[in-house]
Amino acid sequence: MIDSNAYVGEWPFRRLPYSQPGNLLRKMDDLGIEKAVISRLENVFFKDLLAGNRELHTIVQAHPDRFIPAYTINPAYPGWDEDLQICLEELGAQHLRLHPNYHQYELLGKENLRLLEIAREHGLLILIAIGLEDARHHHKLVRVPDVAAGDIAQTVNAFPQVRFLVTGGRFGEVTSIWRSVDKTENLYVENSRVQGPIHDVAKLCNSVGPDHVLFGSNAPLHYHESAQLSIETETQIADVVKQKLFHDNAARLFNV
Amino acid sequence: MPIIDVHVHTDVGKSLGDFAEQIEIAEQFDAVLVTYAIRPVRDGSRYSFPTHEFCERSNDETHTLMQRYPDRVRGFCYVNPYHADAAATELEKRLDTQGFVGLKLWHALPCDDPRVDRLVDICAHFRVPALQHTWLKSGGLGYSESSPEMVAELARRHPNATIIAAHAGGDYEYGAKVFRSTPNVLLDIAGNECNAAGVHILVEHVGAERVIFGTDMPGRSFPSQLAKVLGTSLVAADKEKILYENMARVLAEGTTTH
Repeated sequence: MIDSNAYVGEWPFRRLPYSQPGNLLRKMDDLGIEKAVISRLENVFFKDLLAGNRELHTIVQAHPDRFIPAYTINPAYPGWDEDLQICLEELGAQHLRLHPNYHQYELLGKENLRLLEIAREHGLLILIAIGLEDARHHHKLVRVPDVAAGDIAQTVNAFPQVRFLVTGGRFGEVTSIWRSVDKTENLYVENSRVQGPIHDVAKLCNSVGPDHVLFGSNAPLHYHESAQLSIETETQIADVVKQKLFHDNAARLFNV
Repeated sequence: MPIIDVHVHTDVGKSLGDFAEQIEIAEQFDAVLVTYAIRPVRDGSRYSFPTHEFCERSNDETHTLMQRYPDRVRGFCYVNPYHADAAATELEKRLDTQGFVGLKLWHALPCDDPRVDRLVDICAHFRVPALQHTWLKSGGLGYSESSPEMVAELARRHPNATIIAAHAGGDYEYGAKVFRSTPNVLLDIAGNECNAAGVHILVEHVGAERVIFGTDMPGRSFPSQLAKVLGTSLVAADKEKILYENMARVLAEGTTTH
């Protein structure tokens, strides 16, 4: 199994099990997860994201066979383009993570357009995090709505040469994006926050196609078992499709 | 391990066939579904404030499911407390003659309304639980929604009743603290996202004996909610309490009175 959407690090609002590399790796071992795509969780709130990205690089260097890094960039913050160059040249970035809602910028705003052009030039995979947790339970001081599905669809339409993985989308959000996108070849989704309705994964495969759905945990914010059991126990998809969701689609997308 | 899911919906007016998905899930996971119909198939603007006739129809349909799937479905009676006498009569009838095993209250009225007390007294008499919806959000409560504190006060006014706080209050950390000192409140974990540490926090503050499993199907999937329990590092005995034993004990109490 390849977990296409995970983080390493602490969260300001509650103590999380499996937040540190050692705990996370033990959990992955217990569940049979071979590799995980990880970003630095602190980079949701850090201002100097390069610091978090360097920490991420160190973590991945210690476990290169288990972790695949997705470095976080905030194009609304000064110096992001120089930080991105460092990620590309020094850290070997191939995948970037965006949090447009937490970092408060428009996906098609001037700066992010530049970022997406760079992604196109370098063939980078862009992970867009729609949300991280149910917004109804956010801390009163930090209430962050999910990224609007329509904004993501417009962005995908505007950059048909860029590959996108939408992370943390709920069922209605993901299917809404899919319906609004002109060309879906370069768009992928994962199932960490697709936690309903009944037979959600089968319905997602029917809507999106089994080659575009990936297993993703949203760990350590969510338990891996939610996304894993949702695929493993789904009676309406064949084993060969489960293999695609658990492994093959991510292996192809992340060049594993 | 058998499972009791204390929070399952069907929509009023749907055909029996529409409940087949829930039954398939129950068979797959060896689960008993505690079921109540609260929404009409076509949502009205105020479906949370149902007419008494709507509640009767809801309970008729739940009763049909109970009869059709006796090994898999238990029914909670749904009423609107605003219809004071009629609601009480409906509840007594369903508990006394049709094998319903509890009461479901949503958010027609907040549960600090005296009309709710009468219904909870009836539940205490029949020794069945009253499940009260409560979901605190960071943006506040919805219209006529009961706060966790209101549910805790309801439980204090009725120390001989068993109250189920739906969704564990919505916010688990908050609910864990509010219900720490109300031993007759069980916390149902249905409906929220599968947040890591959520159930662990509940158990730490109220004990595994007061946490019960629920899904909120069909809006939520069974596996995502099951993962809230299976994903914890709780000992197996505590997981069994949450998934089955705690609610089995409550349902058995009601059964012995009939």
